[in-house]
Amino acid sequence: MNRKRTTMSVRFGPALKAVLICLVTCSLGLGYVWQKKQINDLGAQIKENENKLEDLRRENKRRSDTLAYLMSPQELDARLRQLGLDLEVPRPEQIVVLVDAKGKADSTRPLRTASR
Amino acid sequence: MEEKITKQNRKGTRRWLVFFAAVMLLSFGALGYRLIDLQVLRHDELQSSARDNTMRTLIREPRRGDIRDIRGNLLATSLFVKTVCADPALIGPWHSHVAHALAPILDLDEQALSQRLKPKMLLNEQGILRTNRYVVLKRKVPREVWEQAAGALRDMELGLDESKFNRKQRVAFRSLRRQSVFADRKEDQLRVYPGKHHAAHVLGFVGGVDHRGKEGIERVLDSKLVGSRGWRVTETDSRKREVVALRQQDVAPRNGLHVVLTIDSGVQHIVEAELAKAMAKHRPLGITAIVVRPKTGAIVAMANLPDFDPNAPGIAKPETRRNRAVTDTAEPGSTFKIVPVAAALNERIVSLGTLFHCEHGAFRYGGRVLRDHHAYGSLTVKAIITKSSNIGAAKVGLRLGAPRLHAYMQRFGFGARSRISLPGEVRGTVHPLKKWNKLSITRVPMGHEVTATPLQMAMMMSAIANGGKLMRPMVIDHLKDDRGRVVVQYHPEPVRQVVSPEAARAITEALKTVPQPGGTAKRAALEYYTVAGKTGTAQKAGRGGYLPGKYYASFVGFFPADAPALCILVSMDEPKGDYYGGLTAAPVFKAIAERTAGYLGLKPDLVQQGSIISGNDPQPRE
Repeated sequence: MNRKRTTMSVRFGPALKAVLICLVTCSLGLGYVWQKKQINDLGAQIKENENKLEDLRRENKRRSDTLAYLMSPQELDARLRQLGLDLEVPRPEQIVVLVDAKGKADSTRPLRTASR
Repeated sequence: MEEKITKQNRKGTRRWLVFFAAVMLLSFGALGYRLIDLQVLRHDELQSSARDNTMRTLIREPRRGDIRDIRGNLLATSLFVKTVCADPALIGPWHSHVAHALAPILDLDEQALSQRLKPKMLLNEQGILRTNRYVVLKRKVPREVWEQAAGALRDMELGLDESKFNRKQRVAFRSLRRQSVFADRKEDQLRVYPGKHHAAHVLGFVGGVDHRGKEGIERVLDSKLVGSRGWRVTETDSRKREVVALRQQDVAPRNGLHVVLTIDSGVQHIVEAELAKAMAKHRPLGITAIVVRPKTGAIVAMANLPDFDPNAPGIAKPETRRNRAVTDTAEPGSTFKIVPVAAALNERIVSLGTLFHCEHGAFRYGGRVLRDHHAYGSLTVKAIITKSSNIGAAKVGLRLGAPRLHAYMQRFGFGARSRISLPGEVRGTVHPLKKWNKLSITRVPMGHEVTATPLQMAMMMSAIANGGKLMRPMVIDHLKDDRGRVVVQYHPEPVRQVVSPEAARAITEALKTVPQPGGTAKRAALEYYTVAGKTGTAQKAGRGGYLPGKYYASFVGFFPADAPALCILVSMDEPKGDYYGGLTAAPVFKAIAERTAGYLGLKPDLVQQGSIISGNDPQPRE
């Protein structure tokens, strides 16, 4: 009797094929699951970063508003009075005007001045 | 025998097999039916139910644009805030504990809050029993305060040993701590005006649930400031967390445009401070000041007292919210004498030296007597302005004639809106020529029988300062987007050439004498700048004629007179005590002008300074 034709003989070709099919199917399944997990993780990461960005924007806005408030003329004036610094705008006789010889002085334009 | 037993066994087995097959068939049939029922027959209903459970459409609110001054100082901004709500059904008997934890943080009365958190059973219109599941505790709560409130609720002490709770109790208490008080998903905005009363009448305010502009720039530019909504269609998991991968639509909101005004916060502050001093000194019903750049018509400052805080407009009296500079009219009085004189100079029917006899203080015309404060003989046109002679102005008007005077009034912008970008502007009154009576030609030149807003007077004077060219007042400089790109730039807009530059120069020469010794506004004179201006003191009109003891005092002027940088108007409604414009409004003009000139670094034209010429190359460079 041919050994190849016995019922106990192992037919490697189909078995290998079956194993390969199983492996491919499993890999595809695992790959699919892994990919889904990656997408999910990335989604969570995106969400976290979006929230962080939003928080930073909010904080940035809060700080710039505070800065704007502290730099506003009325706040500066109030602080000057509160601290008794007695600062005031220099009077014209205290100002030396640096006239550019090349340009004509225009009295309507604010001048760059230095006080003494 | 054996064969018979075997046959019976086979028969029994077959019966079992048939029975089993039938059961299987029925089971699969039932499953199949269920499948068809779920997937086909109830497909739409279940699909929508599943979608409702997971799909979320989130509205993404745009942030309202900021308002800034010309130097970038922040005048108005918006913050996202929360609306804090509660579900009393989840709170149950713990309402007093929750109220105790939240009341100090949300700044609410604990007793009242406890009452609102109490679960209530209500019968609706259909007679169905309902519980209160949504109670708004407080609107416009800053995010930080909300986070503090949520933290306090999580750490709330109930006086129970929670480790001994069963699963059901644990879930209930978890819901109490984490879900019973929540922030509404829809974000709300809080408009903040950091300067409080600063430029309140120009800025206006927002109001209503929809957070729309109600007054001022907020109202005029509401559509530009508001922006447009975005949205996000997405899915959530069983814990209501967003599954980012299943986001379907994500459209970002477009924030509102930022508005940059021509207002200079520094000048505005100076004006407001000086008005406050004048208000305390003269106790008028109202006081208004406007600072304009004559060349462009740009409003550098505009202030009225009494004013209001736009952060809480509801608590202010309605009359304090009115921008008197554009909404109130009054007979301008002597400041109006500029109009007939400028018109007569433009028509070349008089010169500054032309003499008019002022009838020694009493001029009979049309059966009525017109009087001057002092008895003058002959006065030149220049002196008529200097002394503010009513009779002189009336005679100039008579020489000009009613039709031409009426036409020049209209050309100067009286009786029409100036088209400033502020709401509520009125036209003032210029009666049609056919309604003028015989006396009108002597009364209108001195600022009677005509009414004007403070803005119209300021723009008239600015036209004189600008060589006779009337400009449209502009209060908005440009609009920009979030990235700082200029989207709309507003340019100065000439309205018309009202009088020739020569006529404007001539009237300026006359106006320069007003703050000089012998003029009516010596208190408006500046130490370092030449001022050209005019005082006005008009008796207020009411029912049945002029009201005794009630005056409208004003001063409008510009400086430096020969190269005007700023035009300033100050007007007071019913000042107490002194009521002449030269005694009340003129000193305020002076104070504002001195401080503003220093702040803006305007070059004085009255002092010779020690100039240092920079550079050693006198040749002009290419």
